[in-house]
Amino acid sequence: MSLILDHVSHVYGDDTALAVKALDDVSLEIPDGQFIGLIGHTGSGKSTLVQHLNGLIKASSGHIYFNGKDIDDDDFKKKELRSKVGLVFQYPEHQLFEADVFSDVCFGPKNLGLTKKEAELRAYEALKKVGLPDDLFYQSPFELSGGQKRRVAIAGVLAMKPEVLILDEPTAGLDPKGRTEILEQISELRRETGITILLVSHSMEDVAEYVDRILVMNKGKLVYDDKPREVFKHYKELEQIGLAAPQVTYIMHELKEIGMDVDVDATTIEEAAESIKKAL
Amino acid sequence: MLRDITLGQYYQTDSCIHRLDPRVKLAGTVLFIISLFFFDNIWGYVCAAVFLAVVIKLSKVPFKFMIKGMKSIIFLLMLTVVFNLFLTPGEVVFSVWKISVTREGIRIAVFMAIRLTMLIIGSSIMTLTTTPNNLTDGMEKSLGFLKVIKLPVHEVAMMMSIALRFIPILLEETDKIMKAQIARGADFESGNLIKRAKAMVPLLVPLFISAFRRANDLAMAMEARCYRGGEGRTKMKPLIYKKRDAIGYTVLFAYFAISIAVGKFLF
Repeated sequence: MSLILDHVSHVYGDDTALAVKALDDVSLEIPDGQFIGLIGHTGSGKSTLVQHLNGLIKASSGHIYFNGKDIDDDDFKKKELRSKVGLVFQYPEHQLFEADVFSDVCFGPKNLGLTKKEAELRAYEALKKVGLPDDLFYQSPFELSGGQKRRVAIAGVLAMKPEVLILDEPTAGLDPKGRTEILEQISELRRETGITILLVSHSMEDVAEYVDRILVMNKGKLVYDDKPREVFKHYKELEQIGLAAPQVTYIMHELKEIGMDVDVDATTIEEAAESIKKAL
Repeated sequence: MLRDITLGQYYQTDSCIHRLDPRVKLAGTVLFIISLFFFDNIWGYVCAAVFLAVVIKLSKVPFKFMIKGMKSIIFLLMLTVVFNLFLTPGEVVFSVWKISVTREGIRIAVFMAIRLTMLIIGSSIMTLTTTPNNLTDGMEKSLGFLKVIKLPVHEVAMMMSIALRFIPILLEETDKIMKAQIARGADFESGNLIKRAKAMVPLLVPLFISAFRRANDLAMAMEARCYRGGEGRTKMKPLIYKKRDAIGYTVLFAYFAISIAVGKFLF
């Protein structure tokens, strides 16, 4: 059960004067149960990459394998892939359309051909998983706050019981509190279900604390693919491509410079605090 | 998937056609279309085709790009051809069952197909070489005389330019919404007509909501900058005729006179 990308490239607007190479020879493997952060500046190709993973766009060259099968083969069932690899887009406004939250979340499972009863059961479970209060279930999705809409959108995909959940900038446009809440919920979800999660973001702060592995994209290329602490070692190079390491990394490096014996590879505030305590 | 529609799109490059005053291009398009309907022999169309080819060459817009936009109207074209072919009375050439094809029918069908194709290519040259803003500016200015009969020319022009500006935005949005719903298992491509129409609901509701939201935001932004309609408004880039526009008009009228002469009276 894994997703493998083998030398995948994608060109937008092929054979016009405005051709843009959005993905350039990307190879990677997404094994089961990992929590992965995909980081890149605007236009680095991260959204293009994730749309390949569930077959929404076709690679210009290269192959993508899901559980050992090439997803571009003629006999490959795209619909099944889309139920196994759930993709939640950045703007919940793009998918909410029903009169109430509950029926909106039912849309996905119903499309899978489940009975009404099963679909409703799954919708209920999904809404519970994302932590939406019960009294909002029968409200119009358009009356919810930004954070709540996002939860409903995530539930809409979760209700299809995917094996891999891809979240495209789930925290964009939320205030700091809403951001932490959503991220906590996602990591909670992962603890409970062991689902594979790919979190797309342009902020290192967002992902550093939660993920097992970080992919860094720049100009369509995959530049780093490693554990967070390894990736943050390159904080100077990250700056050059318009990204920054978490603030903790900078503080630790500065402390080290003034002669304190701290662990510069600390990625979370807790680790950093521990290391500073030790050094004192 | 929706980005293939080129009808009404602007193609950015620098050519003498691009630099022309939009009023010349508007007048040109109108004259060209009128001329197409005047011809009653094939030489007129040859004339028009040559003129069109020269303009396309000058405009530096790749011909392939224009043809791409034609795909969307091929159905309409076929329909016109078929109806004209079978439903025109006259001298029967051959007949199958109850349907007969007449000499007049063939003639009209062929002319109609040529006319429509040229009409669409001709008018797409205008939109391909003129930015929407420029185009509405030109319209506003050349229809300014209608203000005398209390027609809100400026407001109409403003509405048009806003509508044109929103087309690519809404297309992009439709693309995104479609992807979001496909990711949730929506199926826009199979099933009968009723099923397909039903499948459009998850697409149309978010699209309308976002269109209303955008319209509201735009209205707010315009009011915040004190927009109050056309009265007393000045322009940053007022339209002024230059020498090249005079040349443009001359070429245009020359084409019109020659093609009418050839297509209507010569043969």
